[in-house]
Amino acid sequence: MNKMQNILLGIILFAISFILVSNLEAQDASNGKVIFEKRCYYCHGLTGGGDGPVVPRLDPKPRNFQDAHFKFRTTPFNSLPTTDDLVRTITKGVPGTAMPFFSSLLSESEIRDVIAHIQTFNSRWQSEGPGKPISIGQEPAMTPDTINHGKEVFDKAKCFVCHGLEGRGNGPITNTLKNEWGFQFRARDFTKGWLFKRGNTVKDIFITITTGLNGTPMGSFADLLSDEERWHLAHFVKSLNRSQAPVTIVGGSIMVQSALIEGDIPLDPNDDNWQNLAVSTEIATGPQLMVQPRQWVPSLTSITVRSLFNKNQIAFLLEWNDRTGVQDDVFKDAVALQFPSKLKDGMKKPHFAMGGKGGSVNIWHWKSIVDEEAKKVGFQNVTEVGGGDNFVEMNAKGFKKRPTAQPDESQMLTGYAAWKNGRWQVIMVRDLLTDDAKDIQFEKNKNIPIAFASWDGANNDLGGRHNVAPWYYLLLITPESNTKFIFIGLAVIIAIGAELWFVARITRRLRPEKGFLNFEDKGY
Amino acid sequence: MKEESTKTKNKYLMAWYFLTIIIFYGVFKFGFPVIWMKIMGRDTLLPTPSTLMAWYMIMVVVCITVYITTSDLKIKCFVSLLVNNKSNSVLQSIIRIVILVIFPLWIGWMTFSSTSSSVASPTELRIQHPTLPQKFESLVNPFRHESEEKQLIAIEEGKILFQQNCRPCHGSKADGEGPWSNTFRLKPANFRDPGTIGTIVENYPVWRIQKGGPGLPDEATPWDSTMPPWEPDFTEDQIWKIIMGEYVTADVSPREPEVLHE
Ligand code: HEC
Ligand code: HEC
Ligand code: HEC
Repeated sequence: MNKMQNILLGIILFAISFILVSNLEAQDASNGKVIFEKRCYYCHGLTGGGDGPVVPRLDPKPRNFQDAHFKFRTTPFNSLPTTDDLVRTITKGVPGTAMPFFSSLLSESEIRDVIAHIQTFNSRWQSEGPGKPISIGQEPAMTPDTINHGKEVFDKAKCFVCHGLEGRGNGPITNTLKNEWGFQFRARDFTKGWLFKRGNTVKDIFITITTGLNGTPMGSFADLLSDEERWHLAHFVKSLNRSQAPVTIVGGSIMVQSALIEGDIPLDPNDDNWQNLAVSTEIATGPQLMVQPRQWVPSLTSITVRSLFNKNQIAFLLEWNDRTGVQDDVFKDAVALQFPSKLKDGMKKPHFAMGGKGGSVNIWHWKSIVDEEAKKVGFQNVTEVGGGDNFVEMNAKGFKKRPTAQPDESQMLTGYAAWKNGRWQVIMVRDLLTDDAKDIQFEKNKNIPIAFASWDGANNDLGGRHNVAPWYYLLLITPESNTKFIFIGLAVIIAIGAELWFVARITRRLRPEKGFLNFEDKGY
Repeated sequence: MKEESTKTKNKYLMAWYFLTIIIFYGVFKFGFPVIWMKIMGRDTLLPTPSTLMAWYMIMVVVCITVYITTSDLKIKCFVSLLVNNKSNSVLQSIIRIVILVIFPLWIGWMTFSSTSSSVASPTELRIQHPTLPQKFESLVNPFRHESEEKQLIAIEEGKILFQQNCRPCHGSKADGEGPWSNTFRLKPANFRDPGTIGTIVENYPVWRIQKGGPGLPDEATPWDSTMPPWEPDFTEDQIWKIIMGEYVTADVSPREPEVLHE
């Protein structure tokens, strides 16, 4: 009898807890639905079709949950991700894309609720469920040897077909393959570690190579390469991450330093003066969103700038990664520097978007030429020395009017330009001082505002559709002179004099007040 | 009377003065990044921006200077530390000498750093909420008088317009963390932060959205602001919808306007 009671009780308890648990699960998805329809539907669509109202302005497009092809999994290619994989993606977001991080807004249990809702959009979640996570094993130590071996694997596995010989994401695939929305497939640029979507640790890279990214040309290499080969490959990829990242992202000085050299300005970017003497600064560029036509889906993300000057001239070496060197007659690659036409006192400047009521700006603009031969190959490698029509000095005052080129006799800008292995290198040279009232005149040791813009022809950048970076400061640094120490000495002497006078004065003032200075007597 | 004044006499007032400044500097510079990191739940430090740092320090110095100048006695106590007195304790004498030595050195350092071609970033002071131009003061949200249902529809439309146009900078969560928020030097406003749209009346954003960065007065450094002027893109009704959508997305509500005369 007792036994029966126990069994009965057990059954009842089991039933209750079963009902509770299943209720909880139902609750999950419905709470998730509320959150999804408040925070996610703009992009992922009300029914998870990846077709929300924001989608026309996004590249890459949001995930279509009805298709259920997920990129960031720890599970094998073509399988569904684990809930933890999804929690990770939703918590930290996807860098370089519109997918926001939700760590600051949703608790982990809320995120799990949303995932329960996402899993209602495709029946595979019920029929097959998440895949079995890959075994990651022990990460080997990174040494020059493992990196070199990784480079061999990189060549053997033909990663360069998509990622380019020097890893700038410029493999031929960018020109030949378009995704279902007509955008280029952009293989990752390995030099920009801060834009890795899953993350840029060796382990993250290992997982990416092992599991592949579903829905992209990037497949899984789990069957082609051994575990060790994949770890070493990950080391090689990691070694391509440049140590320099934009100052707006990792912090650092907003100064672009120009270094003094003897002799002529070198027009070869590999010159020792450019590579070792000049200080390089990484400037993040973003889409031009101030006025129409706006660029909602930019393809360029930063410019590396170096500067040199000599007695008479100043030069800038601008480098930026661009996956294609293809040009056509309308859409061309281009870059521009912007300075105020006149330096003002204090912080005042013209507006960074081509000036305006705060004053006019002087723009130095370089535009690539169409090389018929290069066009056939699909790549372009132009070299130009000595300026030409494509180095133009312009002036602008506000974005309501187009910038105007200066008259021929005022055009002083010359330079060099070449595209190779997914990178443009452009050098611009001008005299420090000119006779033209609309030109910037370079004074030494003074903060000179400088702004940047870039165009990617392959991304249909043209005119106002481009990438920008607002004001930074340029500083032409001259070596310290000894006379300044005289000034410092003088300042110190004056300070001591003033101090002694002050102390003498207060001593005289306070002394007569009997007892004022006698703190001791009063028990202090 | 004499008893009174001696009670409040502090011979170390000047030492406390400098110590307070140094302590506050330490808190802003090293304490805040950790505190904010903890509060925001991030895994990296959130350094205090140099502009903010400058404002904080100005506030601190002004406050304690005002405190010291509240009475003649305090001023006298303040300077008394510099006077060489037979009854000075050893500590007093040490502090006195330290202050007297550091001052000229500090002046020397200042001249050194101002004459050397410093590559330090210039400090850029900026006022986030300059006075609303008169023209915008009397604007009223036309949807506030509509039925609840119509308001809800307007808010929903506004939310979508916000996501389409403002998200790249201000972020999908209206937290100033859009994909391009780290690209431009001046960070886009974080609307969840109670210091932005939560402290202003509803028609203030109308001005900011229509005129953008270029419409700001000089004290708000318009030249650095990437905030676009949206006047050519949206009608005034659409802007009101965006504002309502923006407040809902950010989970904050506007400050109620003060009613001065009925
Ligand atoms: C502003 C637009 C936007 C919003 C809002 C948004 N997402 Fe996304 N989401 C994206 C984009 C874009 C991608 C694709 C990233 C890629 O392919 O690199 C994505 C991808 C994803 C993925 C796929 C990850 C993978 O492994 O493939 C998940 C899951 C996801 N989002 C969940 C969510 C959830 C949950 C929310 C709401 C809490 C949300 N998203 C809100 C834009 C958005
Ligand atoms: C067929 C083209 C192709 C090949 C071959 C290829 N990849 Fe990729 N890879 C891509 C594309 C496209 C992406 C970007 C996908 C995206 O952004 O969603 C990518 C992304 C990556 C990423 C970045 C993941 C992240 O977190 O952002 C890594 C790392 C990577 N690939 C490594 C490799 C390695 C190593 C190889 C060689 C074994 C390789 N890829 C071969 C196309 C390719
Ligand atoms: C290109 C980036 C960018 C876009 C797009 C953008 N903003 Fe801004 N916005 C900023 C920046 C940067 C600031 C802070 C500087 C300032 O106040 O001008 C700002 C400030 C603001 C402020 C002032 C907040 C305050 O408390 O002072 C409002 C309101 C605002 N934005 C609304 C919007 C709305 C609404 C949209 C979309 C229609 C939008 N912004 C689109 C960059 C942007």
